Amino acid sequence: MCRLSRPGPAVPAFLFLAAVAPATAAPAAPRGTARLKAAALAGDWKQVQALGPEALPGLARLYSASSSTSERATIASVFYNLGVESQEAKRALMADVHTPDQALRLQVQWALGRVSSDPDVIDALLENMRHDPVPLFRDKAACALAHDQIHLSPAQKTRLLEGLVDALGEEEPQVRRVAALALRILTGQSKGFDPAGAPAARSAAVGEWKRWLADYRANQ
Amino acid sequence: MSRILLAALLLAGALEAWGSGGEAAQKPAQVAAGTARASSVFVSYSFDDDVATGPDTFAIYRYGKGHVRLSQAFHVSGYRSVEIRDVKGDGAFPELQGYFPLQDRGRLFFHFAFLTARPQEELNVALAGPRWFQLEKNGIAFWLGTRDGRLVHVSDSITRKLFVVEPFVWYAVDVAYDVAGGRYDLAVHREGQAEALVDLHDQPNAAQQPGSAVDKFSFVGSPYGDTSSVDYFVDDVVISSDRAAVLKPFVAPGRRKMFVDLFTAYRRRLLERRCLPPSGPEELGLDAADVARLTDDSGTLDRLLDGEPIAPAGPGALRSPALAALAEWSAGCRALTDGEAAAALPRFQRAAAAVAEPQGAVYRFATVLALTRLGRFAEADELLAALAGAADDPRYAAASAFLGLARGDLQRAETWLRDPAARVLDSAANPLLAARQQGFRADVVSALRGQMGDAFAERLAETLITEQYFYVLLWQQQYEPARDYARRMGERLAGAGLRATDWIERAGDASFHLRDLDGARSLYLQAIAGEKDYGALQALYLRLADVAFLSGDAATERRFREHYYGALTE
Repeated sequence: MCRLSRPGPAVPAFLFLAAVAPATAAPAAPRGTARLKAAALAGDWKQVQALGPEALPGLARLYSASSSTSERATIASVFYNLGVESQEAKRALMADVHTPDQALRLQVQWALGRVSSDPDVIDALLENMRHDPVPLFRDKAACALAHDQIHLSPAQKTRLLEGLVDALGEEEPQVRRVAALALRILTGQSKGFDPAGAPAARSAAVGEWKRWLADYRANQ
Repeated sequence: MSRILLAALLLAGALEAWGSGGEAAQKPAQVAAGTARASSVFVSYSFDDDVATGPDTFAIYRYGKGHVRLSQAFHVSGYRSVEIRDVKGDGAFPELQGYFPLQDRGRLFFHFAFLTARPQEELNVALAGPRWFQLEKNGIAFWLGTRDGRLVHVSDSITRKLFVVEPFVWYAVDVAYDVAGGRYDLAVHREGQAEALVDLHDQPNAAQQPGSAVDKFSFVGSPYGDTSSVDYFVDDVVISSDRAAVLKPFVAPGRRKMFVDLFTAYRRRLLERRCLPPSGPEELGLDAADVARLTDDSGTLDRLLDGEPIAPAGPGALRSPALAALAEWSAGCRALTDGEAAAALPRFQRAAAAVAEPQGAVYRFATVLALTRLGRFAEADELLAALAGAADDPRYAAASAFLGLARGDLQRAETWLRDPAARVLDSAANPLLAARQQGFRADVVSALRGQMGDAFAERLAETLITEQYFYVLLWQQQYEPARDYARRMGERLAGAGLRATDWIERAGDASFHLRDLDGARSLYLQAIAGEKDYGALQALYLRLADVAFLSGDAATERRFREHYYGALTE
């Protein structure tokens, strides 16, 4: 499912925070803004990380102010690598969650779950996975749902799983396939669901998933 | 009566009451090193005696600010337990990770006791298989932990609450895992109470995967989120099976074999015209139903995994593609033993075609052997090249030697080495040389075949002949010429700016066979200096540990072994 090259390795929040020494925690000065811009546009997330969490709102402003989709894609990859929750980052990225620009769309879809655990992020990615006209975008939205929702609470995780199980009933075979793959990645299971199977067999397997979901909810 | 002794007695009594912990669980005892014995007890650690870490015992990971250490503060039996302390936000986690022979059928019993000082802090305990700690088949099979002060287990991919954990209280955990069914019974007893707090039966394993094999266990804090500052203690870890098994004796601290042993065993097997064995059940592509069909009182699966050609029998056996492939391979192996390579070859080819890569290497190795017997060296070369990604697999070395011996024109390898202009050792003239050094990726080989046309087969043979020559010398126990050849190859490649560490390592192996331990040590150190890959470095350091062991240098053996496997100390 995640066939295209993805951003660099995930960096947990703890590494970001650990790298922030008190001396670097002061608000970003103009000189710091220039450093931030240079680092962000170079995709050098480690440099951005070294500037501290205060750099995130500035990074979101840089993203929104840029008219270049390639610059935005680069900054989105920085957000991805930082992996820190940020409402500013989420707002900026959500503006492009339906962009037709391929490189930007993929980076945004990957990055969203790493800057936010809000329900509307999950909903937007589920919507893209189920109904985007471009198969690649559907595929990568499923990939992001499976791998990159790193800040979810139990209730949000349940919402994500419900959306994936619901998508098993889609008419479009590719959507069924990527939703099943995402479920397999998240749970290690298929419940016998074959996205190319006969409708009756698919329906029976979806029934198994729904019974599992009820059990899952009951244990939250 | 002390509180600890009382706890130990009550825990032991509770175990007997539950009755599924097996004989071993009731009498935890240290596994004695150096003795071969028939037994179903794979692991038994009460942590009162010192146990060497290693690939056949356990590893201690002390990354970050936490620790894993022996402690006399709390214990159930004896006078010590293991303390595992994690530190939230330190970027790492400590771990006690243990190993036992792969269990892909039968009933496995896992017993341990734990006490946590901080129930609100997360801890995790797992049994896992060849896919390590992933939620999938042959990954995590059993998963217990604490979440928000409660004991939980993960069953059917759902975290299920058990009970509120009290601080500084020992709990005895007993798991009886039915591998083929992928289900387990779980009992948890609190110290001082005869009645179980948890008594669950027939629970689906972590990802509801029947046939999910296990070969390792782990005690850890919070490995996925770095969110735990847990401080907990573990005692009396026992893993046993209802199937009789023979554990080979330890030949050195923490390990039951040295790295050179397998090549020697495979050489003997090929001399007897027997097939090379599969590396494990996963290589055969067997699913749970297949495993169930092969599990019988005569040990069919065990014997198959040992390389004995047995045709799966019974209704439905041939409807399973994996079992049909196994049947073809078994019949092919018997034909090969009977000197009928022409009859064996199509069987091996059908078996290989039936199992998707990366599974089925055993069938491809068998095909190499049959092609070699038939003198179809170019085809054997190409198939062997496709297996070069498994060059660390001793079967690759044995198959290379087998092909080289049959080919019989290996003096070319010496001639090339003496010829400074030999194209085979010139990366500009021979693009396959660089491809070999990168492990012969299938797409690269395919592209080169297209580019090189008719010259491809000859160049491939030339490229492989150097290592075939080396392995033939090892096969013939001509260790000095093997060492010298490998050393000169290394020098030649290094002089041309090419990677030489594989050849330096081979020279070290030949020196090891010669018991030239100083020479082996020097060569391994030289290889280490040029190596960056973590896995390759680990293999080299463990070779150095073997060298030190045979040299009687216990301190150095321990230093190198513990560099990777850690040490369990107070």
